[in-house]
Amino acid sequence: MKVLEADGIVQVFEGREVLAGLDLTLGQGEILGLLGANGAGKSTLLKILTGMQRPVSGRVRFLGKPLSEGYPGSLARMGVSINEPVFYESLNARENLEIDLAYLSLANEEHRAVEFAGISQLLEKAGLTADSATAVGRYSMGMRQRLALARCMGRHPDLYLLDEPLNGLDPIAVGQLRDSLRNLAAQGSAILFSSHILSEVLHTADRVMVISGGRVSLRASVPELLNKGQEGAEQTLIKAMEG
Amino acid sequence: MKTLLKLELKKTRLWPCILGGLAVVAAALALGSMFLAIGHTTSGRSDPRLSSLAFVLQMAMVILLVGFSLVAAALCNLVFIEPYTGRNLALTLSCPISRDRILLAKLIFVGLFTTLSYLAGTAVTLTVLLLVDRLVGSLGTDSSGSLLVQVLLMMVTSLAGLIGLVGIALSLGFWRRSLPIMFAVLLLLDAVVGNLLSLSPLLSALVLLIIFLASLPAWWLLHRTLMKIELP
Repeated sequence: MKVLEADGIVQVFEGREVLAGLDLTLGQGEILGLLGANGAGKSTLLKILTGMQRPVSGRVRFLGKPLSEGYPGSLARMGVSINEPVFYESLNARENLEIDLAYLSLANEEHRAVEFAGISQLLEKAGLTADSATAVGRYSMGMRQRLALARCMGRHPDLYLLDEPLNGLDPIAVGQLRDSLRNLAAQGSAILFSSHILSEVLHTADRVMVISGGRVSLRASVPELLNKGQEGAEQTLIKAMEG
Repeated sequence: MKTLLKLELKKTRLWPCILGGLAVVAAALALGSMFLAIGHTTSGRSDPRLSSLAFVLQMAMVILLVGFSLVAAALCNLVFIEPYTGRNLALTLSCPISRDRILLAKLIFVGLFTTLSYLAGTAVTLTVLLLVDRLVGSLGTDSSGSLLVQVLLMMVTSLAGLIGLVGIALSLGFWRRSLPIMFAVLLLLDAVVGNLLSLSPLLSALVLLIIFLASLPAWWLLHRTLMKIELP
């Protein structure tokens, strides 16, 4: 089943075409790695896919329905972390998760999020149990990334849209995140994440999509890329990023 | 709506606003007491306005109005400007419920806090000043009933004026996405209105009602802007 379909997405900022007719599809249980140089339009694409930014033209369908019809209720079925993860800084991790779940409970969409009692488990999965009473404003970047993923997971979403979730993570946390994403995909969630760490994208994703100059310069499955070996695959990706 | 209000309460650091409210009450009491004392001096007694209790209360109300407008503006910054500008925008927009409901909850939250704190602050200030007036020898020449009507009129119109002042300043501040602009506009309006309020109670009430009416388009514009905002 197609979770996400985008056709002909065009976005223009101050006369500059940031996205020039971009298409993508993402199915259940699939992990798509989004690559591109800085300013290639990755974050813009992710914002459009959430519905929080409207494209100049093009359409997005989420779970078979036009996104514009379901917004903002559709956000209850998405786990979204765009740019740097943001939180209520003076509150602790538990309170931040509680607020997110409380908003979800008010959404008109069918509510499938974890119950409040499940917050401890989420914190445990994120490795934040010991720091759950500390104000999030004092968290390191890695802890913020892990909390952002826990917040997304709390929604039990059909789709994860994660903008550079590996930023600030140590190698152990990177490995844990990779396992988490794989488990979530195995449970049926569709995942779209952007990253600059080519090796991790190749380890985690099923498919990759490279954006350059607002257009898709490469679409490929990871096994297909890895036929050339790890180094060859990375070279192909870099070439595509250069356009 | 109850849950949304609870969430606003949980998300907002209210203690600076509560401390601000207490400071305003202290300032109004200090100024009111000073005017009470002046009314008992030789020069105060020779001026019919300075030796009138209604004037003392009116001056205290001016301080309360100006002070609480600043407190309300600070709260508006926490509830409207901070979440809708900069980094928190993604968090605010990622709520899967209609923006109208969130916005309404924010307005009710700010309105409730401002109204309750203003009314409580005014009640405390006026009660203390009236008690002090009775203890040190009354300046009051008006009947209790007439004074009560004047005080109630001042409270109601001041509250309307407070909503008006904050609405105009907040709309302009949000339009320019600037906290300093919001406070600069508010201080300017406060200075003008504060001076106009030393007029007779009826004229003061009229000024405050005009400000309230003038703020209605500003509130509407703010609502329209917030409804259209997108993640940059």
